[in-house]
Amino acid sequence: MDANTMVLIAGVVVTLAIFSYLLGDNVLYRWALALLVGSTVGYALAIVVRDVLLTRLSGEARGFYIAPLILGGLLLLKGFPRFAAVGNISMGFIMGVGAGVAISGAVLGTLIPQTQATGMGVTLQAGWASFLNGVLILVGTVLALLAFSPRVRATRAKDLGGELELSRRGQLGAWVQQLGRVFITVALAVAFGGALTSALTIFVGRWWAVVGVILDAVSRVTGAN
Amino acid sequence: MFKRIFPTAIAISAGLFVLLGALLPVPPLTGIRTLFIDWAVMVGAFAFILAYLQLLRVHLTRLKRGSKSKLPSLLIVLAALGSFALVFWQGPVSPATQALLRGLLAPGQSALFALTAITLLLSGMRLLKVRRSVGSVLFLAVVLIVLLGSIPVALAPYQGVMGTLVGVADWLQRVPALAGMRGLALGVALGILLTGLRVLFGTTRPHSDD
Repeated sequence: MDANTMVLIAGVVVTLAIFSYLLGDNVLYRWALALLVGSTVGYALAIVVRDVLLTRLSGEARGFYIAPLILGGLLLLKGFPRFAAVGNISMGFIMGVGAGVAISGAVLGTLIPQTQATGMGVTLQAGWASFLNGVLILVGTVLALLAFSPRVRATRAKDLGGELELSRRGQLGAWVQQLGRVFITVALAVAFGGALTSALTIFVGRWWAVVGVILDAVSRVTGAN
Repeated sequence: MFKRIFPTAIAISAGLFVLLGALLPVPPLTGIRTLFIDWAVMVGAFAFILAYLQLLRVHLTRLKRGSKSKLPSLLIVLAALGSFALVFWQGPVSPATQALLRGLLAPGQSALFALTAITLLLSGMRLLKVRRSVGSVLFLAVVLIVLLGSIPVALAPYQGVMGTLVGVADWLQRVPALAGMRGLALGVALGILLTGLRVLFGTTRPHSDD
């Protein structure tokens, strides 16, 4: 038996062990999961150490990395409860850089481009149908955004708590929320459908791999092609 | 001092430099931004090492105590140490590492993802049982239309009712779903912006064990 066949058989065994969960939580599934978790973590750490740490520390500009090396060393002290507070300095650095990157990413990568794209869709250049779709996208985006607005919710909650009938402002808030939820529901349903389709495709693919290895083994035993 | 003042001062100064480097892309600021991000990646690598050691510690403690889940803990420790040693010494493109990838990691992870298909199907089917509302009906109707609309043309030619379904599924994805997703994305971005600003102003200190 060659190495390639052994790898394929190992893949099939792991697949079947994980699929055994369909019959209920069992020992085989837990063992496979433990093996997978351990291997994934070990693999990822080796890649991180090789590609992130060693690459930088063995390069010509390694003098630049004394500061992060010290910060990294301080971070490792978080593993010891007595010195854990010293590691907060490194956490502060990561959080600060993370916050800076997140803010710039949110503004330059999402808020500005998405707002621009929403506005640019409302144009008559591509005909009336496209214009109406653009208006619907604009209205839907604003309503979906307002569905989570605390101010709209607060107005509604106040009116619901105080009187039996909603005031005009409360009614408007309720309508905005309902319509916004419709758009969000459609968006989540489309995402759910997409996730289901890709998961089912992989499910069928894994079973095909299992069937392929079994058919291959049968053909070897019987000598048929 | 180590607990609050130093970490908060470092977080604010590092965050401001990184933010300024993005908003005002002029020579010294962009250089500092790139350098700080590079440093953060390196410190992040140490955070990964810490998490790895913590995982080993938890499972070694379980092994020592002789708790019920002894064998899974042993498997996790052996697999974590073995795969680290293998990939670290042999490199990511060596035949042994490729065998680990093709024989364990890729089939295992795709099988786990495939299991979510069953979970999603079951949860979709249980939705109407648990919560009967207009929203639930709308959700399931859209899922059904999207699924029917994604049937390959080779199986069902896009004509008649099938053609209409495919058109509706396409429109649902291009217009209302896009609007909903955009609203959600803008909401998430505003949330990130607010949380980031709170860290930069020092009102939220996730780094100082508060």
